[in-house]
Amino acid sequence: MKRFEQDKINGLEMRLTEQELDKRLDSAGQQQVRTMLQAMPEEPLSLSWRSELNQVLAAKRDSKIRRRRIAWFLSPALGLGVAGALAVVTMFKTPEVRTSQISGDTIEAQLVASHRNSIRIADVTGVGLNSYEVIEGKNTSTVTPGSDLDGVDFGSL
Amino acid sequence: MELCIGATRLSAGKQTDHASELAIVERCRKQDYEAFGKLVDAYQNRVFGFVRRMVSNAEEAADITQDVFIRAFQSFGRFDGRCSVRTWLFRIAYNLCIDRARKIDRSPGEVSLQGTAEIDETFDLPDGRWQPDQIAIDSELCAVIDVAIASMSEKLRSVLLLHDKEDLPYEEIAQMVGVPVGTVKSRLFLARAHLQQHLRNYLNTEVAQ
Repeated sequence: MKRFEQDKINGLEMRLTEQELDKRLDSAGQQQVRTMLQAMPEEPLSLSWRSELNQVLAAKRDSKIRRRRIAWFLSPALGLGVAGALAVVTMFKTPEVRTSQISGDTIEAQLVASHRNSIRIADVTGVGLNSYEVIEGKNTSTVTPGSDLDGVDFGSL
Repeated sequence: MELCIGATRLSAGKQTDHASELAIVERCRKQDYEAFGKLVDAYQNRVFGFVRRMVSNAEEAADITQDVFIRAFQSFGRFDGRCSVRTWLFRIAYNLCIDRARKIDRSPGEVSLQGTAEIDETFDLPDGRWQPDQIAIDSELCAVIDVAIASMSEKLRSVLLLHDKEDLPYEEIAQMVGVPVGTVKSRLFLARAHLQQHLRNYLNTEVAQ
């Protein structure tokens, strides 16, 4: 039946243009039906229906107000909690030393290698000797006890 | 139908007082309980009349009407004002009726529309009750019309009621129902033709008696 009805609607749409349909809808017979429908009396709703609706609406409104109040209390508390947690995390976080690996014979690599080398030398020899001297010292003979300078009287100089 | 509410006059019919309605809508958006009560006063009978004819069971219709207003109250913040409050309320009512019909999945005694599309003549009515300017229609005739409306499919019934009873424009009905304007017009034509057929049968029986 539904299919038949749909076919009827489709058939009507295909057969008639919108202007023709408008014309038909404006015909006296069709307009009479409209007038009759508009003249149909309205069925009033009871007072008990209305009071019941008022109760439901009041309950909905109250629950909404309650929810809003709870949200009003909860949202700052939640914000404080999150802020506290963030503060704790930030305070106790150990600083991470990030090293970047530089490879190859680039200038950067050479600079880093030179810097590391100087740090190592400073660790071994202490302050007062620079890397140039140490590197030079590797190639020259070191001063040993019992050398030519042993006999020199420094006091007479 | 017009209702006088306090100092403002709120119309539920054709002559809608837009300024006062807008003021009430604005208050309703702020969840003003009193303002919403005024809207309920203005539209409850019309919405109920529509739902009553859509679902046929009076108690169920009252429940659905209540649901319409509860939903409207809860979602008034989302009402964008692009259509009138009346259209918006009828849209909610229509959707609830369709939802209910889908749940029940019933096919209410749909009658054959065979031949109805060809009917296009006016009634030749001996009865004075059929005069267009006559406002009062007796209860018997109302019952016949109600039976005829109830025997239609929901598609035809909703278009007929929304256009002819509630006076909504084709475009708004098309948007509400989700079909093109042409389909709304076709449905309206068939619904009216069906009602004509039903009334003709009734009158023929009356005359025969």
